[in-house]
Amino acid sequence: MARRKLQEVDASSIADIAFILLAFIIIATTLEKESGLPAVLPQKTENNIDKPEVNERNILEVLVNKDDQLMIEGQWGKGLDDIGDFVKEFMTNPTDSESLPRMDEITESDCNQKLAILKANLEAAPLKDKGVIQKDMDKWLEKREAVKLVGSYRTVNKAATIAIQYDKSTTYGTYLNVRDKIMTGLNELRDELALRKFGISYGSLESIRAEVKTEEDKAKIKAIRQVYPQKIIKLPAKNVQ
Amino acid sequence: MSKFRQNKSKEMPGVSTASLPDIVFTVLAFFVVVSSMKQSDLKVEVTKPSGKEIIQLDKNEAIDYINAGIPKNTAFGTTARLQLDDKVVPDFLEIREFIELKRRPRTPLANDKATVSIKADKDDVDMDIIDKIENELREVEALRINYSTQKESKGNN
Repeated sequence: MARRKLQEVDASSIADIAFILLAFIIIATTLEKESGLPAVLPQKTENNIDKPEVNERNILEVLVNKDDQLMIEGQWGKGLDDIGDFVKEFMTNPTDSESLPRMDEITESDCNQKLAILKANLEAAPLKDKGVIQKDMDKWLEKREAVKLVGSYRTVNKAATIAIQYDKSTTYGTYLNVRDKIMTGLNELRDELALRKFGISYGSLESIRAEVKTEEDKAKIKAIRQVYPQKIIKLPAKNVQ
Repeated sequence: MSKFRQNKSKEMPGVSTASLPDIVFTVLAFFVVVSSMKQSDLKVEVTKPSGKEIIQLDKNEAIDYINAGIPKNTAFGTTARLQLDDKVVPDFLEIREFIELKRRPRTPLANDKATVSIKADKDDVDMDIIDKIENELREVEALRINYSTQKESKGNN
């Protein structure tokens, strides 16, 4: 039998293959980025009997009728661009008006005081109530974190809500535009606060990529959201002409 | 016979690898084409609404998609329908099953953070449909949602 020398496989192209696979993965992951307006749906309720009384001043009503026309706080003929100003006024109530939500002043001593009370309650409370108190405590802890970052702040009381009312045949596009404009107003306030306190706008804070976002950035975002919370609800559709 | 024997005594020529990059490039091109095709694999017509305040979802958290729009194939009807995965469905009740199916392979923690992205046509879908989708999602406690939106170009307003 004749002896044959075994040819070695040339491995120099393996590197190319690897690079190409890498390129593929990068392309594939960036292509499918999903973006939009996030929202959290309310929990399902068993029945609608426990509707709390709402104070008129705590609601900013944005109504869209079936022809996609807007009414804000009872005023017809408003355009999409007016929403932002209404939202800003509603969230800050600069003149302490009776028709806009009551503002709460949050200071560090308030938080500490409240936390001390809750802590005492927590120890005394029966087991079944502990969860509720714990939740309350978490809320105040978050507020304290916010105060530490931005100082004492003024925020709308927790009942204040922006409500979107629409007709069944309102188009989805219009509803989303309304939502978007509400967020524009809110984000302008947030930007302003973030620029003043941290020297960076809220928008740029949020758009820091997840891989390089530090805990500090996240805390700042949380604090800003404490001051200007996103509280938008959809009211169940009814006939609006 | 003698002819073959002569050949064997010669050394085997090495396989040329010069064409390998070309082959791999072809594979790459194939993948790129396929992956972008998947996105346009919508069976319903969806023109996403545009907005300014959009936020990019965290890719590390699971996202399920619900599409709504007028079916491209008129056999499914001419009014707005839902598309779940690859199926056009007439019934909103199917959303529950769809969400349960998506949840099964994931950990409970991943399920808590999962988002349902609603991709709906801005003109052909009305709020009645959105309401029905959201009601079904509330039934199965999928409360984190996202209204899929495309970035509005500046000045286009």
